[in-house]
Amino acid sequence: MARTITGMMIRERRRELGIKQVELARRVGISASYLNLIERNKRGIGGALLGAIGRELSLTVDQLDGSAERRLRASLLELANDPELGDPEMDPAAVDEFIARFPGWARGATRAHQRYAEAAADAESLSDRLAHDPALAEAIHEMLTEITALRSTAEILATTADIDPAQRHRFEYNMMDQSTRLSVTGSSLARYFDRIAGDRRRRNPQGDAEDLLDRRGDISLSLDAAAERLRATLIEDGGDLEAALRAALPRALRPNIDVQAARNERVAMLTNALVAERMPPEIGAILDSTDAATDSPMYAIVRNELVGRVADAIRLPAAGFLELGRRVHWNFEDLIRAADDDSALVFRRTAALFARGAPRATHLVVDASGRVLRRRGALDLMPRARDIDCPNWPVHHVGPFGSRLLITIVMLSGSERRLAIAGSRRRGMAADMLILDQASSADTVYAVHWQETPAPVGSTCRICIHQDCDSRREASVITH
Amino acid sequence: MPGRVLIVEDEPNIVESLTFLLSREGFDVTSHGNGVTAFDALLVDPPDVLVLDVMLPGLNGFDLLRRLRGNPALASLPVLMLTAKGQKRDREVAEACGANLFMIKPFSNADVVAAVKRLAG
Repeated sequence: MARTITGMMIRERRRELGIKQVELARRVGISASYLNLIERNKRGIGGALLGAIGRELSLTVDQLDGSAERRLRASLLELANDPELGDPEMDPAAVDEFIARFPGWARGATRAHQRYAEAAADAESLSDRLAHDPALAEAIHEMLTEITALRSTAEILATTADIDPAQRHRFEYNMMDQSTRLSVTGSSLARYFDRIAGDRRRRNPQGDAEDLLDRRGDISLSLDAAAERLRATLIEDGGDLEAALRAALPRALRPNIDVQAARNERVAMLTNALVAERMPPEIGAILDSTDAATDSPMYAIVRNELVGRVADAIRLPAAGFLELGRRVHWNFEDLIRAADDDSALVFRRTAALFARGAPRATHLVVDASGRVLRRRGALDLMPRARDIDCPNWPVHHVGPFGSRLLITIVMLSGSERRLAIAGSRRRGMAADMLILDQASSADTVYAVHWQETPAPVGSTCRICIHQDCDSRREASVITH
Repeated sequence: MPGRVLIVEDEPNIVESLTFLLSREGFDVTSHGNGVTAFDALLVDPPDVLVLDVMLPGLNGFDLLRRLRGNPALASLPVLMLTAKGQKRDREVAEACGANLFMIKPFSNADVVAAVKRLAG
């Protein structure tokens, strides 16, 4: 089944894109006769070659090898056999016909079943977690063992006068080693409880959408391919994008643009409208590969984000942006100037392209009240939105309508440091901030900033360890 | 009174502290960090007192103790069990397996030394 679908899909898609067999074979490094055999289902295909062909044709491997259909079939059979939901009249033999005739209903049914199973599992695991979780029990056991070793060694050092100097030194070393391990275990327990809280936050569609896109770091390639294809239909190199967009968009679909809008704002609105109208298949493929119901808020958020990413990639194509970024050592002042002074666009593109050579960074959009509206890019550098509550983050100091970037080294509660680059927008009250670590900023012009004294940042003052902070608003419950 | 003590514990810093403390009391102390190798060593050369942790690689402390009590040559060996859990159920399991004394981590050095002396005496 897979071979039939794969060969057929490669041929259909190649023809649709107008790529000759010889050309596709050359791009992926095989002979045309071998590609011919694959397309005629005389040869199987998988692994790196399938991935390479998928990239050239802007299709995911799932779409090419039929595994999406096979997964759908398996999920429906699972539903039919569920003792709670299955029905004797569900004929397993009819599942292929069901998928073929009603693919949307089939996907909807499996998503509903999956949500039901997840909800049941969540309820069970939450009720059992603290009482029976072996991971938690093991972590607590480990921590108590480390405390025992530390206490025992400390007692010896404090109460025994006649210890051989070499032995004393060994005990002192053991204490250091043990306290280091204890802090690692403590941190992992804190992360564990954070994950529980994270599980509960899943009902937040914005957070769900961000986490989903964070896990799909591989999508930038197909979105950029979609953007390149669309851009090629609009303009030649050096052409006027705004004029091309106005010509391409039917008048009825053109957005209502404020007469005072800057050029980059006009182009942004027109590009988004064009992508939403053309809706490239790559966006549909990514949406299909999620388990979000099509009428869910999360689905709408992901779709809008993907449309925005393709629009961004049309305005700032990956190859040119990455090349300029390398040339100016990721000096964002230079990059923003080259992008019509659109700092938000530059920050978004940086976050989207970290898997392809841009510095690995988290991009945050913060509104005038300090609330985080969006998180993009490598979310592990700053995973919790509430960590931005601290007034010491530079994003709270850039003010509206500014043109200058604020660059600050900050120290987090856990004594880790980050480089924060904040900038406001020409219009509107939102501000943007990129967060990088030392490794990801090593090849940038900002590497020198790591020699500066860091500004302390915390989450909220109540649980912040930076006791002497000038911005403290209330006493901390944490004491040294 | 002092005799030979075997400590079966996989945390090397605890082993080092207990070895130091018990050696100063005159005990001849050896140790193992793995339940399986510890059981093999017990068969070959049983000590006077066994200090046994519950969570061990290879074979956990409860299982090792069950095997020990099932062996006529080791059935009466005095055993002090150490656990970090301290739950009522762990104490019950330790007693059911045949532990003579039971100590919850984190413990004080004085309590461990007193317990080993009591079992050796």
